[in-house]
Amino acid sequence: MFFRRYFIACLLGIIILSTGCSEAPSSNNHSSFISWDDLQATPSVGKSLCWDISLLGSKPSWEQIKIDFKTGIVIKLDIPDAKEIGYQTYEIPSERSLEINLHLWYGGGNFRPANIRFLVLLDEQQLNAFASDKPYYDVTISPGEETIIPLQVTFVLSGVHDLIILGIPYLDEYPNPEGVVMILSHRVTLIVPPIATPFKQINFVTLPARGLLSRGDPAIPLMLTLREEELKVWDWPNEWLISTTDVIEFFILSGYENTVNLDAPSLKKPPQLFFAIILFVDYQQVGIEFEKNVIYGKVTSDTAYTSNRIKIRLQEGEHYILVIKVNNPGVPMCILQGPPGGRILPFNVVGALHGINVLHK
Amino acid sequence: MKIMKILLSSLIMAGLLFSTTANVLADDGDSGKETPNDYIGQVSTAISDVLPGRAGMRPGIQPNAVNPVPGGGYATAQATLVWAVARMDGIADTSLSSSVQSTYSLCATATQVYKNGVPKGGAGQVCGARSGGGSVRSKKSVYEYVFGYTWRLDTNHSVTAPGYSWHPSLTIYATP
Repeated sequence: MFFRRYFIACLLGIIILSTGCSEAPSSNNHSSFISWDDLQATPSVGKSLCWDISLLGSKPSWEQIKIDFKTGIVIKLDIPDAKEIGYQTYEIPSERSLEINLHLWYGGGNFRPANIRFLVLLDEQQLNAFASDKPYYDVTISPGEETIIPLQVTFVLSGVHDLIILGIPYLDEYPNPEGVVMILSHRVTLIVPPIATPFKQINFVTLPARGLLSRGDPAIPLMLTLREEELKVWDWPNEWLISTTDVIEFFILSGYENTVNLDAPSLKKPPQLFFAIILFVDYQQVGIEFEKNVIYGKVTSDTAYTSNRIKIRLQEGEHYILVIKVNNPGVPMCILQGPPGGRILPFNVVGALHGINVLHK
Repeated sequence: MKIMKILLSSLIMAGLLFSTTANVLADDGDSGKETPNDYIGQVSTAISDVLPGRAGMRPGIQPNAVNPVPGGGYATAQATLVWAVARMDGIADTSLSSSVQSTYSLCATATQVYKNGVPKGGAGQVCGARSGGGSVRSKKSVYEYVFGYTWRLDTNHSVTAPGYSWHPSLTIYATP
């Protein structure tokens, strides 16, 4: 009798202990839309979605800009029938296809021609927007030259849309050991009325933290690594990873980012960051997870980095792996860039670019 | 007595080791915070009224870039790696020359500090509206032994006003 009680007590103890010691349930299934509370932002006064852009002063003409801009490149979009309603935010009167002109001015003070590869994303999906059979467009532009590239943007339905022009200059200088890539990005928001909510309704999945800021782990906006347990960039210090198998597994590390506005010291940082992660192989968007072209994730403010395992199959030869992270997708630009003295939320596009050479087996 | 001495010296050694290798969090923000003046080495690179592509600077164009700023004066982006024996600071500065009359939105981000290809973290983006002589700074400190390693700092900067947008990125290396 004593041994039976003892056995039951032990069994109960083991069950309690094992339950208590098991991992917390994964939060992967928790998904939600973005709300004003999430952004720690407040709607504009009145009926308008955006704050009054005239607070920033008058905008110079394109011709004046070309005179002022001596070095670097200036990007401008001409969107037909679009009404500017706020910072980089445009209203389109009705559902339609758009023929947009992308203007590039490359200042006369630049010291060499620039070759740039352009890609276009609408709602985080790569478009075949160019008069070309490829989903990207290469242009070489000389100092002191203006170039206009026509873009065909597919039918835009009512709602809130992100249009992002991505440019990668000097392609022949990539990859590098750290995977750092210079990305020219020009992001605008297109709004086609009527809209039910100010934010695009995207389901963001909670991504569990693998590194914690409170534990002293390094804050990593975006990085690719080959081994999840080792915090090392790709195949550093090699520029090209040599692979003898055609199935490649790697991990995308991505973490919380915040923008501190020194002119608004009382604002607390948002409790979460929302972002989209997109994968390109040889500058063409590919599936990133099972039946998904985009990872829509959210992380808490203590997340130094989270990790997503990626597996892709590649053909023999050299390939470029480009991953980009778009912060706060689906939120209008005029809300992300608040008025003077207001909240500024991350809307940058960060990227990581690596090389892989698949050899014969 | 001998055992006590060994124990004591072991404790002191462990304490020293911990104090020199422990990581601390990034400064995540403006670095108005003072740091001890114990630097023993520094490299930095800047873009202001010079063209990109010099040694020590990542070659390439600056997106939406222009210098000087409209109305007179210059904007400057600067990346700095500065070190003591057991600390590496990666600093991103964005500033305006004193002759600038208008107000611009300045941002700076010390995006990532690498030690032999291992990311050691970055600091968040810091922004502010500034006019002539104004600046913003983002700083990441890594509390580790610095000698014998290749360190790299990537920074991002922006200077914006209506119709004007400059977003340079900088990269510098140091091998103390």
